[in-house]
This record gives sequence, structure tokens and C-alpha cells, in this order.
Amino acid sequence: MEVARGEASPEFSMLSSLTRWPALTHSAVLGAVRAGGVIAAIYAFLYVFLPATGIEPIARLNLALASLSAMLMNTLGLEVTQSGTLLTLRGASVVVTDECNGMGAWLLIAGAMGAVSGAAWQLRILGMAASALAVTAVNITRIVTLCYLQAERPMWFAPVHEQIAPLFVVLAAAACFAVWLRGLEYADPR
Amino acid sequence: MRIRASTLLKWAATVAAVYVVVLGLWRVFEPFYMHALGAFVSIASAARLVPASAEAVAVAGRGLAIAGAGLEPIAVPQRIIGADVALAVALISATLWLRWPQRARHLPSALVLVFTAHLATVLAQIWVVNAGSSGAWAAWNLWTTLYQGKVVPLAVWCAVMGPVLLRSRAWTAGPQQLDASWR
Repeated sequence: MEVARGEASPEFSMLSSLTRWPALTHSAVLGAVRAGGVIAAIYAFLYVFLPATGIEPIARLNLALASLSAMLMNTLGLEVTQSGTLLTLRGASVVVTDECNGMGAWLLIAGAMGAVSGAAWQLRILGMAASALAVTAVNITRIVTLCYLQAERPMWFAPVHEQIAPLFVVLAAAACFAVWLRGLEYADPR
Repeated sequence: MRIRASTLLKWAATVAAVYVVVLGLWRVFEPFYMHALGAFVSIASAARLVPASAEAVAVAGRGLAIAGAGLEPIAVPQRIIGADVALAVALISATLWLRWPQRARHLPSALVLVFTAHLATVLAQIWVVNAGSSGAWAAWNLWTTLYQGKVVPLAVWCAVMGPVLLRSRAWTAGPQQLDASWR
């Protein structure tokens, strides 16, 4: 087959794509495996290993989220009372549970950062730490909003809790990942 | 990979807009989806994939209730299911590097995958809650943690759009690479 230099015939493109396809599929599978490995390792450490040694990081996280949310609400002039992970505003209560601490979203970001090939592990860990702070900030805003809605607009609580707030968490997670990818360029412009 | 702030904002706005529209449409489609989910649970029950006594009942505006003699009752809230469906559609629709007809072409397969993931989750929950070992419980807890991070729509988007992206890279990167090798 003869092809002029600089031209790409359809046959040539097809041939090259066929030769590149296994390599690209391989890298995608490798990325998925790496993401799954990172997620499983972090989960095992936080949810299995540390609790087995008597440290309960997730319970502490829930308590910290409740405390920070209560602090923010009191600063905003909403007189909220806190009892453990229970927040009460004008007689209406919300509980910060394992389902609403943002760990799911953060684990997915950590998995995505782990899946990107060629990034230094220091940058991955930095990205994971920064995104943990970002997800926590979004989550505190979410808890404060939900607590307010439960007290003032209880009809809105369930739709916002189950449908609207998760969208913002996903968008925030995507933004974290995009900013991290951009940061990788500055760190290693190749 | 260079992602501009304007592109990210355009993407987020598209996701949010489509998400809200699909959530509105979901109120119409929710009964059909829940009945279909319930029907497949009944089939799985008849096929003994889950305990034979498991019965699924779609409750309008609430979701799916699964109960049976000797079984722990399970509730599947329609709002969470609806959020998954809406987010999957929104993510596919906001795939900015594809033309709209291309995005629309991938929606049916995405919806089938979301439904399959929901059905698998419900069946797994019935099994784990009633007969799960400690290992199965650990895996289930990991899944529920990821589920609240919206792993279903995100994984469906990767599964549907990943091959499209790979194919487009293979087709565009091929000639240049070969061309370069001649120099």
C-alpha cells in the first residue's frame, strides 16, 4: 500500500487504529483496575483496619461535620443545638450519618486520581487531600441547608436531600478532578 | 489534557440543566420504571436467584417495597433511583466533545445499564440482608458508600463514553504517529 507522505488514507487510519486499539483498551482496563485498587485500599484502611484498632475515623468525621455545621449555623444567627451528630433547629432535627458524610464522592475522586497514569504519587496524595477539604466544605454547606429546610420548609427536605444536593456534590467532585488535572500540567508540562 | 474554566462551567451548566429537566420528566416515567424493576425482581424470585417468597410492590410516588415471609423488608426510594437516571442522562448529554445526535444515540444503552445496575443492587441487597456472610456485608457496605457518591451514573457514563473516546483517539492519533515514524 502506497501512501503519500503527510496524507492519511482511510485504509491507513483503520490499520493504525486496529494496531493501537489493544494498547488503548489495555490502558483503560489498567486505569480501572488502579482506580478500584485505590478505592478498595482506602476503604479497607478507613472502614476495616482503623476501626479494628479502636480508632473510628468515620464516626469522628461525622461528629466533626456536625460540629462544623453547628458552628457555621450559630455564626449565621441560626440557634442550633448539637448533641453528638444530631443537630436541632427550632424543634426540627437532622442526623449526620455515614450516608451523608461525602465519603462516597471523595472515594470516587481518589479512585479517579489513582487511575491517571504518569502522575507522581505526591501529587495524587496532595490532590486527594485538597479534594477531601473541598468535598467537606460542600458537604457542610449541604448539611446547613438541609437543617434549615427541615426547620423552615420540611416539604423541601427530601427532594433537596436525595435529588438536588447530590448534583452539587458530583459537580464539585468533577471540578476537583479537573483542577487537579490542570495542576498536573503545571507540575509536569510534558 | 487542558480543561478551561469556561469549558468546565459550560459542562456543569449543561449537566445541571438536563438533570433538572429529566427529574421533571421522571415523575411521568417513575411508575413504569418501578413496575419494570418490580417485575424483574419477581422473575428473579421465581428463578430462585433470591428467596422465592420475595415480593416486590411498586408504591406510587414512593418507590419499590420488597417483602416476603421470613425476609427483612427492603424499601427502594424512587427519588434516589430518579436522581441516578437523571444524572446518567445529564452526563451523557453534557459530553461536549460529541455532537448532539451522537450523544442521543448513546442514551438508550446508558439507560439500560442504569436499570441493570439498579436491578443488580436490589437483588444484591435482598441476598445480603437475608443471607450475607461478613465478606458479603463488607462488599455491600463499600458499594453503598460508593452509591451515595453516585457511582452508578458515573460508571455508566465511563462504560458508554469510554469506548467512544478510545475509538476517536485511535482514529485521530494513528496517522500522525505513523507519519512521524517516516521522518
